[in-house]
Amino acid sequence: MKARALETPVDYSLAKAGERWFLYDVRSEGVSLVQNYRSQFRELLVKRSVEQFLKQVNEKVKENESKL
Amino acid sequence: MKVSSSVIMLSLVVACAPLGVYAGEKAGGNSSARVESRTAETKSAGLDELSKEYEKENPEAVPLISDPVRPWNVACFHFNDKLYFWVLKPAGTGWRYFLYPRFTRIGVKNFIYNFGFTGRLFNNSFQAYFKDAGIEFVRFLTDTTLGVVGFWDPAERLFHLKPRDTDFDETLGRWRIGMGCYLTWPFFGPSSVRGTFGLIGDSAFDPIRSHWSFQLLSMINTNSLGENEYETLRQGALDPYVAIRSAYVQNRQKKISSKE
Repeated sequence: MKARALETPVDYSLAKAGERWFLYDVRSEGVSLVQNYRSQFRELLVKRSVEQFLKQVNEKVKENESKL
Repeated sequence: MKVSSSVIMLSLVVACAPLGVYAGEKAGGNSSARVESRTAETKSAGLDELSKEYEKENPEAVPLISDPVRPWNVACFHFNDKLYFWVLKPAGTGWRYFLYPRFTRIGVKNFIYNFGFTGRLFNNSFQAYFKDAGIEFVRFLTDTTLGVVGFWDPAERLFHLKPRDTDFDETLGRWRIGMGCYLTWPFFGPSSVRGTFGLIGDSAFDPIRSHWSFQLLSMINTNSLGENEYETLRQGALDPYVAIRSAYVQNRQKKISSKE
């Protein structure tokens, strides 16, 4: 038994730059993660300086990497 | 959870691409000043090419929505967020142990989904998807009888009749009505002016599933199946409120503009 709604297609966008393949976007249910982060970055960069913003990004990356 | 958080991590890194802080690959170990050190690596990897590729695939700008009642929306967002972590998630865990075999909970999901046939029948008709409206009718008859009140889905499993999921907000959108401003409601979550009329329409055309008891059961049951996109998105977000708003708008726009 398998529920129809349990299948969620995810699209990965890849591009070859030089020798390597790069993943540059992940989409699911019409939601692009790049677009999603862009809208967040837009608001944060209005409120903060670039240095503060980069610091915040780094902290978030570290926080989530520690959970891996 | 491990897989999903690594996807989020990877995409967080990837999302930096348009800003010029793209990273070559997912790095481990030494983490000091990582973003800065990645910039140099990127230049050699052809950031311009990646950006061009991205712009080619996404010609339209980032979908935006006006948010004039933001303080209200933020308050509702926090209310719903607490509701999720303090009530819904523990209830989902409890429900998982109450109905432990996964297929029974998938059955509950199918059972609830089957009741939504009226909404799908009406809205598919409103949107001139008459074939899908017909499929919906046959699906309901099949799943209610052969599928034991919808617990099993023989219409799809045996006869490959896939439902076209839709709602009244999509109907309004396909009638070229704009979203209006963003609105968040307690319990109902992210919505818009049009989305609010969509909810009202759903309570008329999809009355059983719109009933609060079915909504609650559905949310707890879905959570027990480990479908917690909300948590995944929230965990990776720098600003969860904006992340959810953006996801809502993107998802609605995609649904309405899609040809399927």
